[in-house]
Amino acid sequence: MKWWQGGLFVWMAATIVAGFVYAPLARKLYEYTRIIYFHIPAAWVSMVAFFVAGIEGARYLLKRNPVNDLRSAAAARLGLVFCALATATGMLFAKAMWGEYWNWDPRQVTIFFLLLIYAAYLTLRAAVDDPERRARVSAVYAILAMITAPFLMFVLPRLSEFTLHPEPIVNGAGKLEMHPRMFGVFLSSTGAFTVLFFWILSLEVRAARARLASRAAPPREGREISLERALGT
Amino acid sequence: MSARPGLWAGAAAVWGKELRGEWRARYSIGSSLLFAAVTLAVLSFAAGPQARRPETAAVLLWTVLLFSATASLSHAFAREVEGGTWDLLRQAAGPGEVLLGKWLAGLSVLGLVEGFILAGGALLVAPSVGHPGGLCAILVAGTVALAVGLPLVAALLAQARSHGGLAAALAFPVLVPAVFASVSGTRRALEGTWPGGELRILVAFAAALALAGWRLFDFVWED
Repeated sequence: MKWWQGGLFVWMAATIVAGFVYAPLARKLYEYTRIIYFHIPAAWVSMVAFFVAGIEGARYLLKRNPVNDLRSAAAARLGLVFCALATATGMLFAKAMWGEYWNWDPRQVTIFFLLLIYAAYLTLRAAVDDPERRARVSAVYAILAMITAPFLMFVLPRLSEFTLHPEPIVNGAGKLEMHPRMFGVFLSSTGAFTVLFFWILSLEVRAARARLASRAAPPREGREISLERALGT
Repeated sequence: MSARPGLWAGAAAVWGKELRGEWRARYSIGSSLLFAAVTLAVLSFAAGPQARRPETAAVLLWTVLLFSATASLSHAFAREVEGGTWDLLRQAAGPGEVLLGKWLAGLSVLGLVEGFILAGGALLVAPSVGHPGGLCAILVAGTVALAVGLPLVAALLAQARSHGGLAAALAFPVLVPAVFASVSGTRRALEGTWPGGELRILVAFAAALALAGWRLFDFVWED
């Protein structure tokens, strides 16, 4: 284990503890305040993943380096996981605060659509056989999705008059309304989630590169097996 | 070998080709109009008198429009691949001309389908329109956003193994901002308010999609 990996573990553990013992509770949110330190960073990382997928897609289109495509796909897969986490934690909060898991709140709905975009991207990848074409088509879709994402996350929720969702960290008037200690824990959690995302992303890309290399390399002498043996006939 | 025509002349040629093909085969307009008629009748019947309420009428209009638009525009490029005309089109026109021509053709088809849906809606639902100017502006902006976005997704779909089932799955999530803003703007216009915020979102979204599509289509177009 490298030093910074151990450091990340300590950082995340300290943030979890700080969320429970150091940060005060928000008015009207009671003990459910704690979810701020996990739900919002998960949603943040799902947005970051979107941008990484789109930017790596654009880099693939410019350089035609398969590694950029691998990064784009890995970011989308991880984005799907973090988006699912944000949706699930949001549903738990909704059940605790408003009595129902699903309330058709604009923010609940838009993050669900973000989830659908990730799923659509991965479905498109699965539907194209040729690797070069798959990379090209997926990169274009990732860039289109990157354009849609800010509208979904930041513009549309403000359009609706109905919302149960608490004010965003930076409210409509552009003011930060959060206790400094809460904000400190929140920033720490968001930073830790972001580093965790980039770490898992690098691991995913390394694994995908290894798979790619093993497929491209010719079989080594002495390790070739006959078709009959492979099929067990 | 003759030189290629300019951008607008080439786009007009592609647009004309699309409309002529549509006129001869009626592959998308026929199915779209029928689809629109059936969904409009079923949904307005299911909603009953509630369909006249601004919020219900707005959802009804854009649901029928979105599904009809997807039915008609999502195969714009798959037809070229299946008919073996993709390579011919590639030789005859550049990517910009093809995309512009397809956008214009999509807008024409969508305009016709929309006219049909609005006439049917006025007949079957007959909601009161508080701000006709606002409604017209939202209809134009929302239709342009759909007509710009759907052919881009259609071009991606043409590269995939199965075109049919994927169309809605790929197009709807990307077009959600346009549909949300259109529904909200239509509701406001029916209630009698000018939908300024929704119009700004629609124009910004359509412009962003058009710019991105213009830059990215080269990559979809290459063999």
